[in-house]
Amino acid sequence: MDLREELKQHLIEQLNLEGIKPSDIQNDQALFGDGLGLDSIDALEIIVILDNEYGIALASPEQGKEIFHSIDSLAAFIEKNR
Amino acid sequence: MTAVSITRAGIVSCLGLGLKTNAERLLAGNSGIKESKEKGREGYFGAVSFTNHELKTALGFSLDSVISRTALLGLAAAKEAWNEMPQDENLKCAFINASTVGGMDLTETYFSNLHANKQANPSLVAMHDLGAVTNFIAANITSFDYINTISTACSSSANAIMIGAQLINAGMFDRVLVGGTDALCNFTYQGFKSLMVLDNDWCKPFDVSRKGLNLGEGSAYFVYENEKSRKSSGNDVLANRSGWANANDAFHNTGTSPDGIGAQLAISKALMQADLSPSEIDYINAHGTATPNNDLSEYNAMNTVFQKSLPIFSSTKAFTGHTLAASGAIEAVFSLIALNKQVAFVNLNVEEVVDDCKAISRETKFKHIANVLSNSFGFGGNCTSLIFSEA
Amino acid sequence: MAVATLQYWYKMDNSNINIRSFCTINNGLIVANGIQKLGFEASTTSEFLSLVYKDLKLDYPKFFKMDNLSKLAMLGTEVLLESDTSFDGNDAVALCFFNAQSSLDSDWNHQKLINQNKAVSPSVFVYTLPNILMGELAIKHNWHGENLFILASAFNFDSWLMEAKKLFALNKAHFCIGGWVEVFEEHYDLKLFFAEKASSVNALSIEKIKTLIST
Repeated sequence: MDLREELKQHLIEQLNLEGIKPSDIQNDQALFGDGLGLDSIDALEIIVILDNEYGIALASPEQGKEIFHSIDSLAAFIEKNR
Repeated sequence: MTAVSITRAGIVSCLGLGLKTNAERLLAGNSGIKESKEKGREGYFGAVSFTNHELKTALGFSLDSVISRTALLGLAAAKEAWNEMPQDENLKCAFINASTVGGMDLTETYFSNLHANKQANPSLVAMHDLGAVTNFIAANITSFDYINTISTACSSSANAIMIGAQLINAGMFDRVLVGGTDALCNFTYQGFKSLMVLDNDWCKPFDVSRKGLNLGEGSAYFVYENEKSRKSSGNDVLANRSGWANANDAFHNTGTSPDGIGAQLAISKALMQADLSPSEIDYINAHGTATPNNDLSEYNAMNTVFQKSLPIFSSTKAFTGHTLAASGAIEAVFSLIALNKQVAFVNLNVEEVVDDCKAISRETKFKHIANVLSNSFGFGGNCTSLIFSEA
Repeated sequence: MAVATLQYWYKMDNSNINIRSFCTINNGLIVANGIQKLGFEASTTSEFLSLVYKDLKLDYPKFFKMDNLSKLAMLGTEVLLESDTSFDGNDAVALCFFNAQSSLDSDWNHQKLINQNKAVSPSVFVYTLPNILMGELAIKHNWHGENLFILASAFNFDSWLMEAKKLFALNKAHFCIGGWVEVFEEHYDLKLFFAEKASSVNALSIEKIKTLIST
């Protein structure tokens, strides 16, 4: 599966995004704030996903701010670091 | 004023067993937080330096008795506070306890043994409930007419202190034991680690470079007595609990609002309750967990209520770590020590302070203290502020 | 404040307290103000809660991130408020809940991950404290009032009423929502009450409520 599609599936499952399908999430859409409306606990869950699924450990939530901006930025980070 | 008299106190923390030891170390600026190199538990912790075996021996229980560490720590402090006050059948007594961990330290052992197909002793889970820990402590102190357990995260024992005072004020009871206890356990450590709020080094409350909290454990209790009870016990009044308030921040379950709305409400209502103006507070024992979020919100809240004229303040969590449900009671007892010794405790580990604030206590400061404000803010937006005043 | 009022709130009769509405949720049934409102057949607690959410048309995506204890409390609160059209929302609503098992349902979910050597989930851990459900209600409704969570072996309506009376007598709140909320795996039980200071001719009879909830 395409990494971006895979990420959307992970987010929908792990973050309990009820009623949302992968096609509802645009690759460049803001995940936090007004975009998908994710919050700080969701950011921590994404850190767990990065570790569990892609073997990348982040040391602090602050590191995640830029990386978690969108599916595109997440995918770019994973491609660079795994 | 609806002040309620406090006559006795007891405490167990990583600073030691008992009021005397805790007071000495606070005055000396001597923290009890230590580095753990234990595999799977790396970091800095405010662990009480007595093993369960040592606690059981000191409390007179056999080594093979199944008792949660939370209960052992609690009983040790409760005994110091109650100090074998003789029962008086004309007096009505209550016990309001607080905990979040309860018997989890035993339960997690039971389940990990079970999972590893090792022999798992079911009596380990008999003390799981918070209520069971409370009942154990109560049964080993005296016969109480009323017992309750509060569980509201890190403000739990502060709320127990609040509730207990209301029972005395209402004339329902003559003598009330209040406080809380929590023990370190893997359940808690794993959870806080996943929230990424721990500092891998010794914590730095209110410092601009603070990274997070250190977990701790401990317990503290004190006794409220009305006049009728004091006539019977002969106890002197140590201090008065003069103000109290609880409010919800209504922002986020693990973070506080930037302006600290919940904290502002709790602090200002406690002042109103105590009929004190902000300028009459001589020292603030802050919640000050050393997380980037809490310390800034709390600072903003205090600044708003005190209109930038902050009295001297400090967090004592660099001494003890964050003792979770016990923190409200432990810091309440520290507030009593502050009144007794006329001292504002040092905020350890602070170099560059938030907002370059001059009010932070950079050394143990002896001064006239008539009123102390103590803050305890918990997950779920639960904010409690207590005010203690000289007798 | 009259000292007499301050001191003797616990002796007050029930004339200064008005129960605006109450509901119970258990065994697939939602009963509001003594009248059965909804019923669902579901094989799990989670499934039941989702069905109720959809029926109430809640439109609150955060609901699905909560644990079942918080979901149950939230749904019950929506049922209370839905039937209470004269309540205009007030940020000084106090919350007071009781249960026997604290956050055992989430505690167990958290412990299972540890047992299986899996990565612990921060969103599960957040709910390993019973007062978080009050935080959820406070956040959704912007209620800044006092919050208390008390452990008790069984629900006693008079104990809850006493807490509400205390809040009103001490002028800490004008409204109090709360009661009993318990969830562990497939067992769930909610008894929720909406109390108000001062009397009203439309007050639900406290004696009648006690009879209804004890069945």
